Amino acid sequence: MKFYCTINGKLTVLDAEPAACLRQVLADAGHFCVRDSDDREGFAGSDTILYNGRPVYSNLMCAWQADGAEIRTPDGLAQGRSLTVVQQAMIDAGIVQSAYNAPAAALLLTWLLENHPNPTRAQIRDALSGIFIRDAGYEHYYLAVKLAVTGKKPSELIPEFRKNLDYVGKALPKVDGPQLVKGEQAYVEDFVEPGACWLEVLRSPYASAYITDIDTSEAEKLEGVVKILTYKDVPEIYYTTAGQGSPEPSPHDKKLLNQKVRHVGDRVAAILADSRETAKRAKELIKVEYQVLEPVLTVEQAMAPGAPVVQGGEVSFGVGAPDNLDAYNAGADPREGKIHYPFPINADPKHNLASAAHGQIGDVQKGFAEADEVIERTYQTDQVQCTPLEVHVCFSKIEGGRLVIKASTQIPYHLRRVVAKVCSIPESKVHVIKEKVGGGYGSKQDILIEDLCAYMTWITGKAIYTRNTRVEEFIANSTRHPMKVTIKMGAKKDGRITAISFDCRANTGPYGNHCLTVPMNSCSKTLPLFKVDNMKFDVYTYYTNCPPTGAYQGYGAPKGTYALMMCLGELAKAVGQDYLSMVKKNCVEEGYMLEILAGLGEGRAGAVVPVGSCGLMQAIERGAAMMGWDRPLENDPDSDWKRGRGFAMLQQGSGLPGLDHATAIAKLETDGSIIVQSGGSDLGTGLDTITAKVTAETLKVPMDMISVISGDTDASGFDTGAYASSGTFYSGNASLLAAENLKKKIIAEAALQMDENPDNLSLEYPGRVVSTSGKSLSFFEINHTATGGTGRGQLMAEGSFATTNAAIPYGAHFAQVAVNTRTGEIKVEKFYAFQDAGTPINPDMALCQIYGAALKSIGHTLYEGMILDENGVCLNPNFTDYRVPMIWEQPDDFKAVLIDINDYYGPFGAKSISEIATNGAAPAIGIAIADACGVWIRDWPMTPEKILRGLGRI
Amino acid sequence: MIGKILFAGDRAEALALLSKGDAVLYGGGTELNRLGSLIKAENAVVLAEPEGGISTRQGRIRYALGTTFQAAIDHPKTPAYMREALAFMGSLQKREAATIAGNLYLHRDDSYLVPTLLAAGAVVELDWKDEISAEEYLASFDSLRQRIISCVSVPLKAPVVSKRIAMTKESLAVLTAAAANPDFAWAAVKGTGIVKVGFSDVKCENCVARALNQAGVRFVSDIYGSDEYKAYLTKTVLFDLHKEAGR
Repeated sequence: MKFYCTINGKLTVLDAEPAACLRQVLADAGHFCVRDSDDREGFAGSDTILYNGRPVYSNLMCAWQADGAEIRTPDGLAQGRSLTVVQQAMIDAGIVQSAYNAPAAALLLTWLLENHPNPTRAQIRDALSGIFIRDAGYEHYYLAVKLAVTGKKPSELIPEFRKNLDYVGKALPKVDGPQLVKGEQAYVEDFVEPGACWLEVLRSPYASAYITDIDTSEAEKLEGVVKILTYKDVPEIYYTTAGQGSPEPSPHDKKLLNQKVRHVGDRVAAILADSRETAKRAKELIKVEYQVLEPVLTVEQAMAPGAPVVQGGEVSFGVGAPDNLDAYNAGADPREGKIHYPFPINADPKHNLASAAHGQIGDVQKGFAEADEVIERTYQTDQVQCTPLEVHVCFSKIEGGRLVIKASTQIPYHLRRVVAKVCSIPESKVHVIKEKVGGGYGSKQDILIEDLCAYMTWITGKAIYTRNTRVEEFIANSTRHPMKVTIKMGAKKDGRITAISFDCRANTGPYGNHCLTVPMNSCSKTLPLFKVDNMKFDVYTYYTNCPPTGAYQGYGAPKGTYALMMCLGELAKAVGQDYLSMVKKNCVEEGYMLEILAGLGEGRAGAVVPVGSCGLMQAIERGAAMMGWDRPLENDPDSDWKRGRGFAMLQQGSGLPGLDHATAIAKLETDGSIIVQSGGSDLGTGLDTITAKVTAETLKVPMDMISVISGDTDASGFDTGAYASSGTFYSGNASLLAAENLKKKIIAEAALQMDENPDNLSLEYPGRVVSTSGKSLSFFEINHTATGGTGRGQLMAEGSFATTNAAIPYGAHFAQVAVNTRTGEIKVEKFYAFQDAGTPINPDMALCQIYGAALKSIGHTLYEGMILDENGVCLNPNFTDYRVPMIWEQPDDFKAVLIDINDYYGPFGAKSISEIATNGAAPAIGIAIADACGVWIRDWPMTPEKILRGLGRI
Repeated sequence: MIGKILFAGDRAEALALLSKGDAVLYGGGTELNRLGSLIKAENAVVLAEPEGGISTRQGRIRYALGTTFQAAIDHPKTPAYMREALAFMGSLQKREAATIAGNLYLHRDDSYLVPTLLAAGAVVELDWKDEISAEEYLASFDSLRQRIISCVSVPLKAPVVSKRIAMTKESLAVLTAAAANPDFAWAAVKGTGIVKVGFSDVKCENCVARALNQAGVRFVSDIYGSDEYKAYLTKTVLFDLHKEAGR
């Protein structure tokens, strides 16, 4: 049926079934930036359009409603290659990051300003009330509106750093900002070729079961079905989905398809068909018989004597096999598959132990004996989902005999390695292209769909597209590891901590990806905050049949920080000390030797280093001052609302010293412009912009003379990928080295061309070499000669960065809450996040990353959590019931502050920013709640019901 | 999700299509098109002419069939108590599509609006001709489900106080409640439904608990909270509304 409407001012005829989803109809008509983040749940807002002048969710509308309507979509905002005032303001404010629904946000802000040219904060909030921003938080959206309304420059409203530098430390437009905010082709889904087949996955309804029979015959008969795979058809190749440096610390414990399914949602069969509809119909025709087994869902159940075994397969080792391995493997059931450990991680899978690690410094027993007060508390965190706006997607094809994979991934090189292994082909036959990533947060550090998609392409020769549903994102994606952390802490009456014992029991779910490293991080990114001579850690990770876990921003540190700081808060009360004073007495400072690091390597010995650049005390003191910590908080005795304050000190890392590696190549092009081929993966956080800035700064060229190609395994050198907050420090340093090496080559070549001593030459803006004698050559002139018939060759240079030095970011987060002691309601009234990122190369984006991470952290503290029934079925696999924070949940008084500290090792003094801000909210809010009403909530999320139980009301 | 749209040329045709029993009326679409929708219908009936419009008459404000939450909020005559309840729906995009009539028709146990409508003494016009109280409409819903709510009206002035409790603004409410006088209150309790609680001699929350018990209200543990929590919350909030409505 034909529907006549106006789209972006142009008369358009849409030909569709009346009941067809309007969003899909618009996307098919070329408005692909009207995106789908929630499968028609009506929540995320990526599908927002203006319909007869009103913002609506196009996913909740039908095609018939377009008839006679005036529709505006984000791609219609700007003309040609220009940007609108709103789009530019959004880039300038730093909020165009992963940007999957940035075009929708631009549409909403445009509508707002057309109707309210000088909107109030409440009007802005209302305009953004139906759009879910997961990356950058909402605070800088208010700033974007201010920039759009006032016409001010970002430098007038965003702090700048390093006056002596032109680009570094300045709020400058993100290099890919225009592409993203305008809704141009950017994500994997935008590059799927016509005629691509669709890959569908049949998933287990049971948390633990053997597949005893699987009949695909009826499904295979369906017209359009290309191939169906079951566990019987896939290679006996075990791997880990964790994207980590090889040899990975994670066990290789899964195949593409296993005979044993280990969680609700685990893969049972892969169906390839010529269309999504056919694949779905074929899926329904597959008959599966299961022998259902008793699941274990919690650490307690997994640890219990005689517990059902999750991973009972035959074990092998790359190195370090124990002498009794044959005996250990006796009687292994082949249906369980296999587990291969590249090296030992203290696992005992027959008792559901996926990994373990232990270490200590000093003598904790002596330390506890010396203490005046010793307390022991246990804290429990739940299973929290990344919820990226862009679900997991993959497009793969064969081109020139090679497997080409377009992926939304944080780890192109690890992905290439694992796919090559699964397909049994050389890595040189695999080309991974990281497209723009519409939200990763760690979930795309695992290889969760690309393995199957790529393998299916390799064996069939077909181009294939696959995309998770939002339900699959919840049940078959990776989450935080639920953890039970027991802290024992002793202190003297004067507040000095004498000993800390840290016992972590983590739940890794059905597979062991990140089973050692995430739980280890819970203490390796927390214990080094303390100036305590006696510290001990014991980390145990257990397999269970809950939905899979993996990497999530913070990577264990949020849970360890929560436990340690809450315990410190309780201990402060026990010894009668002010909590702030006690933290300051026991926190590290620059130069303090971090002996505890010796035992905190990822499966190998860690490097003991002193605390380097450290803004921790500044963060604590400035935060306390801003919070008015020295003044008592007034509470009306007649009011049910009671206020309280809390804070937490934090740290993270900047990549993995001794493990990470990054490479970049900088090339001078024939016109003097520069291309940097970076192995790094920009997830929207601005890594490409950092690359451009450090290059521009070093080579004294305008930023628009630089193009960055990144995340493409054919077009750059090896990089471990965007995780562990490594981007700025590792990939940024590699780009800086490449630029510095290119600078040397430029000067050397210029010296030859100018017949000058290189010591007399320097670079000058814009892209010239000048000599003390007054001669000069432009980069164009230099390279033109170098690439001529008698030239010495194009000027290009590599930079490769690896180090054992650590650049540790520090911070302190402060919260003021109000708790209603009758209803249990909790409001976060104030949240101040003070952080040291060394030199913030992109200060605008750095601030937004703090806001985004802190809001996520507020989410997991107060609202979020996957709820499973006794059979391991997730009861809330949607945004609404999972309860992500939106603009309404943002604290009214929300501030992020960058502490200015120069790091010794980071590029231009920079450290990481991307993870640390997830660590603070839980302890800051938990301590604030206790301050308000006396209730210590020792498990996530901190709900009104828990408050009421703590108060004895229920 | 609906499979087929049935276009009705006029009101009579729409009523005739609905009377067959295999179709629902297409309201704002926010429930009908939603993933996990409670409405299981293959067909939806669409009226040829959109039926919106807000008017006032004899001390009441009348919201015609297609009146969205946001249109009602934006109308200058919408009373403050209605504006407060309409704003319980956090998402602007949903408010621009969801209808007052649709929310009453659904009368979900997490309804944004129904307790307030009931407390205000809302009147429902059916099929552009008959009027009954909203309370009566809900009580007789099974026999009325194929009739069209052509208008919902509420008093321009009414001392209604409302409260919504949810973990986040956009998550489903565990409790929405409203009262207009100290004699009774209405509550939508997740897992239980819409309940009317009469008050007599209420001096404390436990008196409300007894009233809830006498009204046969049973609370259910689910992902929104335990039965104990819901029971506690309901008695506490209703007691507060009782006090406030009595002022």
